[in-house]
Amino acid sequence: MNRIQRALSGVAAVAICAAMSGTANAQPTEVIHWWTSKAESAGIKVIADAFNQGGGEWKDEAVAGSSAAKTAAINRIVGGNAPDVAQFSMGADINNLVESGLLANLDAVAAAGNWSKIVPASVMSAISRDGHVYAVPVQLQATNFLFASKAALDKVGATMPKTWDEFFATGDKLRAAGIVPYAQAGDRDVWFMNTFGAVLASVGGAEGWKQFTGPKGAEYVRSDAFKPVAEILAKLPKYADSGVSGRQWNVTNQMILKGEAGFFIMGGWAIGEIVASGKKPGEDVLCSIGPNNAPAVVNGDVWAMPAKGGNLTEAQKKIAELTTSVEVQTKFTTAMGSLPIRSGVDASGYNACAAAGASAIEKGNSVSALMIPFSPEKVGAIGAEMKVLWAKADAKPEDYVKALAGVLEKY
Amino acid sequence: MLPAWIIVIGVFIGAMIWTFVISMTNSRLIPIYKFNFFDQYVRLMGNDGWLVSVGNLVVFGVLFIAICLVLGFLMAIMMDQKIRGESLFRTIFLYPYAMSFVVTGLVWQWVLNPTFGIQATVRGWGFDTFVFDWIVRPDRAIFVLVLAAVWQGSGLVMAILLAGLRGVDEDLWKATKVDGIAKWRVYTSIVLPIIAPMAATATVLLSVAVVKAYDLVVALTGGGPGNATEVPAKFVMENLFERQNVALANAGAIMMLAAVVIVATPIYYARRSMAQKAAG
Repeated sequence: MNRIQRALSGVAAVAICAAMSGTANAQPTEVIHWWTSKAESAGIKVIADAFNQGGGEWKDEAVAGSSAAKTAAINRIVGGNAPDVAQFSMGADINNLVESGLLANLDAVAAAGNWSKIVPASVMSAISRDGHVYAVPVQLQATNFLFASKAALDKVGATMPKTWDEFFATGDKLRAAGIVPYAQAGDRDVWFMNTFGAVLASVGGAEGWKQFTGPKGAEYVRSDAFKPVAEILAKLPKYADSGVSGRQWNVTNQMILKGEAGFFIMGGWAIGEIVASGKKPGEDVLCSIGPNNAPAVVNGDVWAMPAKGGNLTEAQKKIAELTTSVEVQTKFTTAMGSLPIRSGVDASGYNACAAAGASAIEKGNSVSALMIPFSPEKVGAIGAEMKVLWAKADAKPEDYVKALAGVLEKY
Repeated sequence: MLPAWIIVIGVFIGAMIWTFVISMTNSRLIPIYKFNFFDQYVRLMGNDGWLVSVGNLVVFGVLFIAICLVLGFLMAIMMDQKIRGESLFRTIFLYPYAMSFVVTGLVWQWVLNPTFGIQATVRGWGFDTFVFDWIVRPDRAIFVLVLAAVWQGSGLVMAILLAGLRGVDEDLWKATKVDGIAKWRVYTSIVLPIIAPMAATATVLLSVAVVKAYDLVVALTGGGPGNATEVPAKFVMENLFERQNVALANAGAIMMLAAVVIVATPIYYARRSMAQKAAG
């Protein structure tokens, strides 16, 4: 198949070259991505502007929605009409493309940019396969922020909890005051997976995380060390309202902004929404990473550079260099409300919540989100199990242990 | 006719065959032609998610088709009474069918959400014990799906059956009037058999809608609570685009196609024999 594909793409390339002869140098650089919201467009414009100023011609091909954008990119790569750059999620997302030899090797750019020194080790391993670099890290996000409505907490005289016991004690007070203690988003499986990740990181810490994602994950889940995680998972739904099922994350976020709910676990992308509503992160909406300064659970986005005639093209090389430069990273992450993929970025423009995430990563207090080591199938299965258990009113901690151990063994 | 045949063979049948071929491989993100034959089908049959979604679809399909046919028939009879403002009613009944479920499903979801929908509103009026939370109850959510689907689909059934009713010979009515037969008897024993081919058409359309049910579920419940409203089409889409499991998704798609064929073929032949009987 590979040979046929290469032959086909070869034919296509010849055809395109024939059609383009004479204007061969003026070919624009096509970039497929899914950054379409206001803050996101501002972010992508930073990279595009920097590229255009360097003499390039950026052709923006935004596709709304991550799965639609990925599908568009994959169809074009497989069809032999690959874009120059395509956005993917950090981690197992690109495995299949790398295995099929469809992505360009970025070792030279990484070595020249000294990535092994400036990029966190966990990120380096997420973009490398068999010791070779195959993706350009673009941004990071902490996925396990615990947000709290200041107004709601003030009403019951509580402060940001430091432990899960305090969290549940405050939850009881909030409920007595007629406020929903904990808001959970429920329209997609991934939100339940996200909440699970936050609990696991805060209770198990980096060590527990390593065991869970390691080869003996199922054993760890069945051990006593995992028990508190399962107990909190079983307890959390009882502190949520009945409207979880089908509710989008941004609607759920509104509950915090309006003070209708006390707590909310969500990734850093919620910060943009908080700012957009005129509230101040860190003042109107409090935030911490887990209730007990848990390691930040980090995922991110990468540029995949489809191989064009074996080598990295000049334009691809240029975008890789620009994206990882201090200047672009500073402006880009400030606009996006996300976290930089490298050290040396000025965090003074960050709001309080984003700064907390950045400092956790800087201190090395972070772990890779489950979608980085796990296949999409496995991550999806965890989310599906968590969603089913959430809706089961009488789910016991043992049920969580059984479901999670089952997924880890099966996939 | 040649261009039409090229399109039919190239696009429809070609795509179907390709789907089947890929379901025989172990492709994950991109098509890879390493064959493992029926492995994906074995995996599918052992997959709890798939089995649950098929079970949900059977409940949904039976209720949806039955209620739609009954309701559509009743509405068609009502419209057939030469009522005033018929075209207005027809438009109103057909209107839901013209709307996208992605839009209306979202509105339905908000209306039914207990924290800010009907339940919250009625409680706001002082009825503190009022409960209407089917959409978040795992044992009831499937009925919410049926409700929304019937709301959309019954208008179409009405339109098709009304066309059938209009085709019934006026003399038949006069004859039954002379014989003094009750009106409901005429409808059930005489008119219904006459418009049976129409009803069969409506059933086929509804069955296809059942098997394809996806947008409604995504917009209304997202498959939840838990997996109470998961359906095969959603399983296929998820494995295709989110879980990087192209071969398994295609195996699911082929199973859905098989289901449509199994349901539609007997109806098709029944219809044909009925038509032949009517003609002969």
